[in-house]
Amino acid sequence: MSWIAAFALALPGFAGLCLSTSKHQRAVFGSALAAPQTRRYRALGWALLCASIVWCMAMFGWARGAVAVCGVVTIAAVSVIGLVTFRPHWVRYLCWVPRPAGDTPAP
Amino acid sequence: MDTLRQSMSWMHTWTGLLFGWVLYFMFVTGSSGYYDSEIDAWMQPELSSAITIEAPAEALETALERAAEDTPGAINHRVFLPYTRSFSPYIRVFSTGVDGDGKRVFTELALLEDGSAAPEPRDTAGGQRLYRLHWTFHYIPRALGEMLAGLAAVFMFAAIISGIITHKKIFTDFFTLRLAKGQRSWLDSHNIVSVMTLPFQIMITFSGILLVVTTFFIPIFVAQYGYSEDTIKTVEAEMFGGAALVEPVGEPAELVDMNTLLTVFDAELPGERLGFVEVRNPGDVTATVRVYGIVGDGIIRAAPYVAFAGATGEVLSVSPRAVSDTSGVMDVLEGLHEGLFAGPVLRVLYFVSGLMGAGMIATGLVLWTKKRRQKLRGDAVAERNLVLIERLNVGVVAGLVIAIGAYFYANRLLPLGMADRAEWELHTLFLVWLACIIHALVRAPSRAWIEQLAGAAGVFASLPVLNALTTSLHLGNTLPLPGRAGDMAVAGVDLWFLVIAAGFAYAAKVAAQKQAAPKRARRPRAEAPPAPAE
Repeated sequence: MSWIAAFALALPGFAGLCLSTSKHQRAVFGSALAAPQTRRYRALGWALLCASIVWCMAMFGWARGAVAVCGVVTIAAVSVIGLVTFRPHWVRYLCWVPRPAGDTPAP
Repeated sequence: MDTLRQSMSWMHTWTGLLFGWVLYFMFVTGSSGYYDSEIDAWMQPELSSAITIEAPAEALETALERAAEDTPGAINHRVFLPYTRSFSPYIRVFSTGVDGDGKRVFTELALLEDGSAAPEPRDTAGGQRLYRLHWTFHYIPRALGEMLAGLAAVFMFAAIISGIITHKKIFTDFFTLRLAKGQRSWLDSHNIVSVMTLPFQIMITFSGILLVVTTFFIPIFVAQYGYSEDTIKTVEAEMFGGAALVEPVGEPAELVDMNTLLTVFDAELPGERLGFVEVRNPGDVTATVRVYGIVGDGIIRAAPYVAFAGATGEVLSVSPRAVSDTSGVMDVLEGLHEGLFAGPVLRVLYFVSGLMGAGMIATGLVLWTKKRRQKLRGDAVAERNLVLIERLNVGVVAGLVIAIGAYFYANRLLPLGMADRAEWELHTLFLVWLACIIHALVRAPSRAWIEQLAGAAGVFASLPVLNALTTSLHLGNTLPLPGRAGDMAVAGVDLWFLVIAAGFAYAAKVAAQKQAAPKRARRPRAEAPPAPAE
């Protein structure tokens, strides 16, 4: 269970970070997102990633936790890369932030 | 910054190639070490899974009695109890005796809990000698192997650091894998496997250097202690506190009973499980008993122990897992390297990270040739050399995988009574690897890639079948199902074989597609085949 939770936090975390880059936004959504929504993706991505790290430390202790973080982060990041390369549209379902009011997509 | 980056790029390229093949071998065989016990179990199908010891104290006493009958006059006995992922499923006794000429003689026993002899498994090099290849290299003297491994690790460390500096957009390109763009795709793949596993790579390389670092101290030892056969022994005794042996006085005495000692062990080292017991000067009044914990139980790679006077049961010393901060740092790094403490999930992550390290080197090797091919400009000599390196890459990278598959084949197919059977398993590995390299030298590189990648897939896909044909420890019997425990260690090895086979089948398919549709630059993304993944 601890492992599943660690992955369940890291995976959308990396998806959020991935969706905060304009290159991958184009691949996933067809066009780049506006700056406010990009910032939200980045903030959520980092928050989830940090939560995964804290979770590992809390579950496994700082020593084993540090090792666990390295492994979890590796697998989660590789999974996001695999998705954004081969099934880019799926990445949008991994992480979602609401679009700020009055926000229009960048051209 | 740009000049630094350029000079680092030069260094990364050349150190990479120089030690690339050695390091690839080290990463592949080293990764297998995360499943050494499981591979041992697969390669010794006669053995049952680890027995559980009902009464450890009595089992230890019985084993020590057996050892005393077996090797009278021994200097010491060490009795190892089986536990999860221990190196043997039985009680193992190692005794050191002295023969008529004063030379040391080592004997070992494998026992069941009642002291009867354990079943004899087939002679095999097993998972132990497979993973030991990553620093012994088998055909060269041990000290030379350690030096080569140490040097390669130092170069690896240089390659990692220079690689990070050379990488222009580590964050911008973090998630980027551009497909079917030739060199660009290879660079992306190389960057991804390297950056994703960076903490692991830095840890494994740095701790790897530390593990063999004393090999490089030999000139210092010789300068300080002079050169003789005993130099290393003297130094080791001083460095690692190998306690000076007390001469037995020849007055016989019984050991105090084990139950008392184990109770004190539990009290002195709370939370530690019983691992093994060492008795020095057994049967003598000077006997000492050390009760050890299990090395792999903590992230600090050390065996804590309590030392007792054998005749009285008086506690002589207690050595906890972390003795000092300095040795603690060393022990943690070694513990991280070996990952003995890892549970099943973490073990998968370790293994995958190790394989990604092998992939990092393999993609780096391919990239090396791709980069140079662009700059050839009709230089015939340079092209010949480059083609040679391309061919060797195929034989080394894909060939090693086939060779390791052949190692497992040899375990099942070599006659059981064969002399030096374990040696011949290892010879098979290296002979098949040599055959793959020769095959790569006579085939066109692009054909050789397809054939050897497909070959690797075929060999590993057929291993579970071979296992089912030759033993009863096949997936049909070993997979844990509701109502039966199975044998997950053996089943896991078969399952990993299938995963590896699938990976190489995919790589072979991609290589074949690329061969079928060559030189169409800038294909649209949708129909583009992905770059071969290791």
